Amino acid sequence: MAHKQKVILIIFGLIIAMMLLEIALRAAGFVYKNYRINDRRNEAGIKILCLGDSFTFGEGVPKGYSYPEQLQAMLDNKAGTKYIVYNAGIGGQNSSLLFKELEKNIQKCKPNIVLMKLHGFTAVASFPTGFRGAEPRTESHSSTGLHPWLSGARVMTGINNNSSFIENNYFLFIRGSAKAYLYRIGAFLSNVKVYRLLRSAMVTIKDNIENKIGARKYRNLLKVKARKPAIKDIDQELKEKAERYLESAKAYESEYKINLAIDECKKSIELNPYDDRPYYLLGFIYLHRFQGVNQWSLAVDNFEKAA
Amino acid sequence: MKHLYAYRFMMLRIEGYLSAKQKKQGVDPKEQNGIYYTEKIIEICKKNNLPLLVAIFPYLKPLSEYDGYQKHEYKIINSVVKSPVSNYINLYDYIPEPDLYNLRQVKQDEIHPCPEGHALIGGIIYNYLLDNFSFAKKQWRINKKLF
Repeated sequence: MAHKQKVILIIFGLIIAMMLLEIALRAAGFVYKNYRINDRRNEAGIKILCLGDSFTFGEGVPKGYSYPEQLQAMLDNKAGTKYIVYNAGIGGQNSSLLFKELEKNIQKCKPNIVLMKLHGFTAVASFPTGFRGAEPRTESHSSTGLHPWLSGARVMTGINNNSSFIENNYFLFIRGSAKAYLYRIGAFLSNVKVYRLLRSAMVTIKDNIENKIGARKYRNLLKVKARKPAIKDIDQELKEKAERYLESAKAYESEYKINLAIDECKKSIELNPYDDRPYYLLGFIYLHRFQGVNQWSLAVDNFEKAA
Repeated sequence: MKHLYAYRFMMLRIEGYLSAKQKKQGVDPKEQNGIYYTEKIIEICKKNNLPLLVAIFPYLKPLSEYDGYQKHEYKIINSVVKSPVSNYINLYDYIPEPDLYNLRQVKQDEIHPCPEGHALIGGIIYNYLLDNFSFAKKQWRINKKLF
């Protein structure tokens, strides 16, 4: 009985802790959001309100380098009128969320100009931006920084999402579809900041473990003594052809035409299997560029061959 | 799982709740894509007498490499923007296509630009505002209207 009570107490304690954390995160988000659109409404000057998503927010660039901030710097250098540029970009924002926030932002900032940056995602999707499958957009932010949950970025719940009938979203309209319910549950949970915090922590831990395993595999690979194959004589003409294929593979790789680059590498290997460079390039493509299944094993295979 | 009465009961309740809520909200079929909300945003700006500048930014790759969905998005953006907004910048016209690759922050990310990309966009918007917007009168110069 005492044991059961302990378990119940622990669960109860965990729930309370999560609730407190949720409240704290929401309060921090509120403060952070107000800090970003700082209260300069009483200042005189031309006010420009920049609406948008993570792009406008300046995802991945250092503070002061997003385009609204750079616009502010440029306008500051212009003598005469004072300009105030507000950055109201929030990661994961789309047209429906922009619309919901717009009235509030106008009241808060009292702008003279509204600048809206439209991107494919922002304009078309009234869904979470980047939502093309079953995963909410905010997942991709999880390992990149704190701002999505602090700044109030969120994903609309399944209740009032208004999806387009494009690509993988069709399952939402199949009555009783398990995927639809799963999506709705996922969409609901993605509004809970604690869930997103835990999820991002899990993703970071998973990434670290995968990196460590990868590094170990690589070390093991280095330990393997490469057996040098007997180099056969190959026609100079074939070598030149292989070289040309390799060059075009490199060009395709630099232009992100991955499938073409892979084809060219394979052709080069066919003509001159004793050259290590196409193997290395293939390995590199599979490791860094190719987004598909088994890319890690394919990369390792090709690196082994190159070695 | 599907055959459990408890599961079916729970799912039916959720379904009923969701459909009732959706019905209450009166979801417009137009809302199924972003055009509806973009037009609403334009309406709000009109209502508040706010000059609106729309900037269309490309994916960080040439138009020829867009997949079907991205082409569809681009088409929609253009159709949405061109009709009610006379002041818009299509950044496709300003940035040469081969340069788009160099604006990537991370090689795999075709959406978010590097700081130089942000500076370029800031510069384009800055020049557009100086050329077309009268800061003293707080209205567009060329079109002589707010939108």
